[in-house]
Amino acid sequence: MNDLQDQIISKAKALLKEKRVDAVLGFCRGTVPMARRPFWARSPEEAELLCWDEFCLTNLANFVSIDGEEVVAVTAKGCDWRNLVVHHQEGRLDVTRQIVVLGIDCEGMLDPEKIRRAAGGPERVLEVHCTGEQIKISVPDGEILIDRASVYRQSCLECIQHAPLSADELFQNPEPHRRPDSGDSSGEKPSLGSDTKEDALRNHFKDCLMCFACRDICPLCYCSRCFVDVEKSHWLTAQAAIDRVLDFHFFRAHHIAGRCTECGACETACPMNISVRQLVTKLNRDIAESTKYIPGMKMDGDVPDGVFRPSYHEPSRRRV
Amino acid sequence: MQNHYTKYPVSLHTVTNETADKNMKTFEFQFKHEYEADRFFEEEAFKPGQFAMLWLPGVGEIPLGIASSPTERNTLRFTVNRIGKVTSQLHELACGSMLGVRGPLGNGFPWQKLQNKNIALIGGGYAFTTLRSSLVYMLDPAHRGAFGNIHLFYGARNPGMLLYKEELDNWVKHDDLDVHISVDTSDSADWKHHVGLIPSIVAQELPQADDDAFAIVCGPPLMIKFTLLTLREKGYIPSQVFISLENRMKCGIGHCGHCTIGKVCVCSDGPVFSMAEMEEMLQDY
Amino acid sequence: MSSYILRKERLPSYLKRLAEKYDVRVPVTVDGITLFSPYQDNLALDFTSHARISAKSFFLPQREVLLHYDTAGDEPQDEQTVADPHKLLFGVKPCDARAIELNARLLADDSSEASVQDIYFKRRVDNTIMLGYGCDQPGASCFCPSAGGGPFDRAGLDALITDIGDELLVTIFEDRPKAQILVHDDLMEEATSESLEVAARIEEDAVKILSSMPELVKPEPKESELFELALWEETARRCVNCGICTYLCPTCTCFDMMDEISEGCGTQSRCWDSCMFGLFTLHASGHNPRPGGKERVRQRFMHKLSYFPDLHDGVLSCVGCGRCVLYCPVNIDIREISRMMA
Repeated sequence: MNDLQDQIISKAKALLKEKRVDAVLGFCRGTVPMARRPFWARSPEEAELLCWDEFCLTNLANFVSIDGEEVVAVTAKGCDWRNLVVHHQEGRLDVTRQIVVLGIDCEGMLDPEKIRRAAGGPERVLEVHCTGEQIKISVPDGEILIDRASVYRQSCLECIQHAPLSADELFQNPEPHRRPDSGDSSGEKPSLGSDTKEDALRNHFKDCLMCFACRDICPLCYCSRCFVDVEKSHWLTAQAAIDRVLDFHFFRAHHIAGRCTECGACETACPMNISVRQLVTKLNRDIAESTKYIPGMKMDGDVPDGVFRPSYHEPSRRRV
Repeated sequence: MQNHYTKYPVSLHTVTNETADKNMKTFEFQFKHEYEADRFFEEEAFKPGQFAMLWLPGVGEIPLGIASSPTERNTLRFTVNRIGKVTSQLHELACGSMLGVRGPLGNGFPWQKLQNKNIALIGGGYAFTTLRSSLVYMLDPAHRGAFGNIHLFYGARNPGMLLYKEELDNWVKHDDLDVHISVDTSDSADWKHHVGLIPSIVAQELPQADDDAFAIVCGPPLMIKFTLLTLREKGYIPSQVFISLENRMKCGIGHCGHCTIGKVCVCSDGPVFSMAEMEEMLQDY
Repeated sequence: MSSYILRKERLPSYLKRLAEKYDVRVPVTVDGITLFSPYQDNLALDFTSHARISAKSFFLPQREVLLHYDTAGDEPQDEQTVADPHKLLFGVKPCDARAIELNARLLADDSSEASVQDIYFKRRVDNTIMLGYGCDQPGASCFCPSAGGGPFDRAGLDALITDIGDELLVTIFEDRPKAQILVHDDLMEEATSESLEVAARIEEDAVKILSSMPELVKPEPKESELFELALWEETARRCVNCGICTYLCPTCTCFDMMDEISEGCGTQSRCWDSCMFGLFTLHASGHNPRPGGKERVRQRFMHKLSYFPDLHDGVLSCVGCGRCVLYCPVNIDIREISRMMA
């Protein structure tokens, strides 16, 4: 992936030097192993800090600002781009005027939690090196080698669109890693050996802290007044905690059904490793079955009736 | 060890409409248990400027400045604006309803410092409640001698929005009190008092400050800002001027973190602060 | 303090013995998440990983009922909820234990007559025994020494275990009366001087590992200068204002209160709240002193590194556990922020 990174940096520098964009939104390295952070390069010098590798996990569409008149180049995997398409359809921004899409033919991201588990715990991961088909984890008592194939992020295994369908430029690794075929988990009900569907659901979400990271990292959750905030503390009452947790996840799943690109940012952000995506994945399948609609594929495509959009309840959110 | 979350049961005794638009009402409560009233008034020594957490069971708890004076021993009064979830429900309650009170909370006005001084009470809009408590307290025959000249400045947008109208009429007639009532606008020919914003009335009518002059200011942020400028021009120094702050509160006892402004906690270090303290505070309110 | 040797093969019996009298909680890792779980025989215990949810959840639970009431009679009665039975937390990391002492500075301050103590928190502190497990292999996100602690720090603990190979060195702190129940002469032997030396070396090595890692720095400038830094707006650009840092942080204690009632029976409860949430400072009038991400990011770090130390003898509101660093979805790192504030 280093070649891909070099290509991106080179392009970013050119765009910034020629002042064709105000910033290039990509990733840069973070301060602990596998951490990458959204980064805005505003000068050719800053563009040197851009990085691209198998840990560029979060969805950058969440970080594209709609304030001001900035034109921003965004390094976009297939899923990032699909979310930008949804934003464009919903009038949140105008991709054609505001965004320069630096499309990435993504090879699939790896899951830091799986790597930490292989190492024996998060504290044991001192360094992570990904070259070839093996991942080398430096731990206090030596090194652990694991197969790359075993630590892909689940949403990346299920990905149906690796690269943007349209981009100002498309970057590819000349020698890409091949991601393994997934079992498509298809949003089957979370099955954890419980007796009833309700028990299974409660079990699935039992560790949820209601930190709202899944909502806050999701590009689709951009309502200025989320349903949660209408009476926030009501959602965290002691009397029926797990029921309120399920309320939150069900409501949110219905708000993003038919819009969600299953990018996995929510699950990656969840500090309790809950696979938050499962509810909405199932709803997406239902929509696809009845309408053939897959979210975020066509900038000027029609969206089926019944799919929510924030401007329905916040007319002011529509900017274009 | 005391549990600071238990409430004194209080029953709603009377409800009085204060404003023409019916959005401000005064709720008068009585303690269910005399020994708890004793604790509130005597042991905890409730003094004007303090607030209480008023609890509507099943709805919530809100901080309210106490409008009644400690000298009005048998009652606890709050004048409340209908603005949110709890206040809206409060406004629908019938007399006889049982609620809960935690308090008195906060530091109150600095009564030790105010002894033998000339006091200017300056209030605007809805923020007159604790000033009422202070005025009634000072005018009580047992206390009047402990204070010098008392000046009262109170303004609202129009006559209908003034609180405690009957009492205001009495205070205007009081011969031991210098009272200036003002409205921003008035169409009424019957309006006998000032027309104008409070800071300008203060500029007109308040004597220059000396070492014995203190001022207490309560009101909306803009009114406070301009009143403070006026007071400075009158020679008041920051340690002679006190303001009561508001902030979102939940526990009321300095633990939940909601009402902090930098290092300061409004519910437990305040809500009353001197101008000098305000000037030290970060602009986080 | 007195030290004992507990052979590792005796650990199950020791735990079983303790569990006869106490509600013992031990760190167990399931699918990569370590949580303090009720002791059971044959559980695989994980003393290396930080519990995902810190020990603060045993003293200030995420959801806690404060009062029950009943409006059926002619006045709402309130009863305090009964404190949990005596707990024994076995294998707490020193950073988490030290955090409880920091929490107590706010919630159980008894330094003056005017101090107000939280009865629920205080009761839990009084009724809980904490047996720590020192960190011989600190992780890449650990920084307890620069936060005022250490991998074998005793703050907040009744006793501390050091893994010295086939054996565990159990050090009981005699000034902690609750610690006495941890001594079981039939299962433990007095420590030898060799074992004490081994433990000392392990501690030294751990501290050395930590000294090579990025540190937290106490900012020098005054709060008024720090308040105006461009850093806040820059950081807020990527902060999504979720609650991960505050919920996982052992020294964060802000809470919200709510009432619920159904058919005349109600509760007043509290739950964790976060200064990162937009509603945290919202007035009923609509005014919000911290309207945007910039103000809220500033509040978090100013509180941790400036306001709290100014109020508490220079002690930072951070124990260096590293959870916020590891789990922040956009990698906002308090160590880096502190260096940029300095």
